[in-house]
Amino acid sequence: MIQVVNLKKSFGSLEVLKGININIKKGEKVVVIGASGSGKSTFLRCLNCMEDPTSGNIFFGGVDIADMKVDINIHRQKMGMVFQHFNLFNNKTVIQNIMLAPIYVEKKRMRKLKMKNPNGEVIKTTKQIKEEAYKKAMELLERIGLQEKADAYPSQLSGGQKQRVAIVRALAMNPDVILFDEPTSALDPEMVGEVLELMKELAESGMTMVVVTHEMGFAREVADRVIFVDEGVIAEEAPPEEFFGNPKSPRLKEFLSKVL
Amino acid sequence: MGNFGLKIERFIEVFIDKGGYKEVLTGLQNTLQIAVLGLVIGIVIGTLIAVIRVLPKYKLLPRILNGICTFYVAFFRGTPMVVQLLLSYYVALPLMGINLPSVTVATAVFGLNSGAYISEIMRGGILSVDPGQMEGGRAMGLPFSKTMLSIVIPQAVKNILPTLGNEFITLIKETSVVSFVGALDLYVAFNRIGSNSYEFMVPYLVMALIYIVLVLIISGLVKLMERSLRRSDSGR
Repeated sequence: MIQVVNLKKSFGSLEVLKGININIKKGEKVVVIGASGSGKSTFLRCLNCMEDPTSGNIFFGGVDIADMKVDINIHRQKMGMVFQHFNLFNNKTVIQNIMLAPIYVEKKRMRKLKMKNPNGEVIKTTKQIKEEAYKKAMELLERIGLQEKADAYPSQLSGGQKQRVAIVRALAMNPDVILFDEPTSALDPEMVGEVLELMKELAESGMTMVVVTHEMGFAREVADRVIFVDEGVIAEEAPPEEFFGNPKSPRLKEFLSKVL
Repeated sequence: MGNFGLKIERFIEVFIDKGGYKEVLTGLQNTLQIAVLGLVIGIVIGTLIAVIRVLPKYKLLPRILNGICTFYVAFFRGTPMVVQLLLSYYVALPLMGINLPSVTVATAVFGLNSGAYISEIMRGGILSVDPGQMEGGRAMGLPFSKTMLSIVIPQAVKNILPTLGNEFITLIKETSVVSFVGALDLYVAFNRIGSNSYEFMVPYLVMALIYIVLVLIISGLVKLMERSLRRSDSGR
């Protein structure tokens, strides 16, 4: 589903990613770990071009999205992203946060259909689009038990609630893959559990996930493959049992001895 | 001071009996029109410039636009409003062979001028919004423009509202320079009453009072707006 070929990224003269190659299959759960400054977050942010790669290719659904000529927005709509600091829209209520992008995308699609509609698709009115988005958003909120918070603003939620809303906000776009950038690192310890629980649920439902995290327990339990990023390259990758049970490179051994 | 009562009488005579209030009303209307429309135009131009200035600069077009904006801001902040007004009314428009009412010209110049100031206010406001807000929108596939308009700018405006209120007050008071191109504003109206009654003390006092009342009303409105916009911060 995502094929990364020789991905490099530099910030000025600092080369952060020095050639990453990886193939992520549909439904696969990939957990990325590494020391801070190793380039793991940059790698994740390159996957949906939040950071433009300096060179290399990222094939997503057969298109090289690292190519600057590609309309990245269309592809990002199919790649959800969850951030360390949630990045919920502060000026929108919870339900508006979830509905904003789906409504925008659907309205745009309808505008295009009005110009050219070869398959005779039904054109929805703005009202219908909003009603549909609302229904879907409420379903998602019910799934995480936060339907009562629909009209609350993000500032009125706890960290764990914010992150769960951020996750369903990503889900509202029906993405093919969700990228998680240290989703529990900014949370109070007692809230980490509820977020990881939701992520496990997602994993069981078959979602393709790429997760940068320090939660080794989560990696062990959920990952199909764990990747160790070190000095801008993938230093080691293996299924979790082998990765944690029998690490090969000295760097990984050292890293694991510090975090486990 | 003994004849202050007399002065008031004379003012009332010219203001009411001789119809001086009509000019004051027209002056008030012009003052408000120039300031309010000027502010609206200024916000539109200022926002546009601010957005251009925070655009990523690795493409050619944003760089060119940025250069134009820098020049624009330098010109309008670097020359007095009166000079801009005179240049527009007596130089630029006649050269182009265009004839416009002075109030219209004044409104346009006020808009262009405050656009330069508001662009910097707005840029500060946009920069004060957490970059994560833009990232959150872009990561969902929303274009830069949509994220800017729906997410970043509303939050920026909330942050800069007190400063924008300040700008509006400045505009109201600065309208008194439009008499340079012969527009009838509050100052001109009261000046005429003064000339007609040979008495300037009371007209100027009343004029000052009207300016103060206007500014107080605006401050109140800004405060109300601020309160309603703060709703999304902590509780209701």
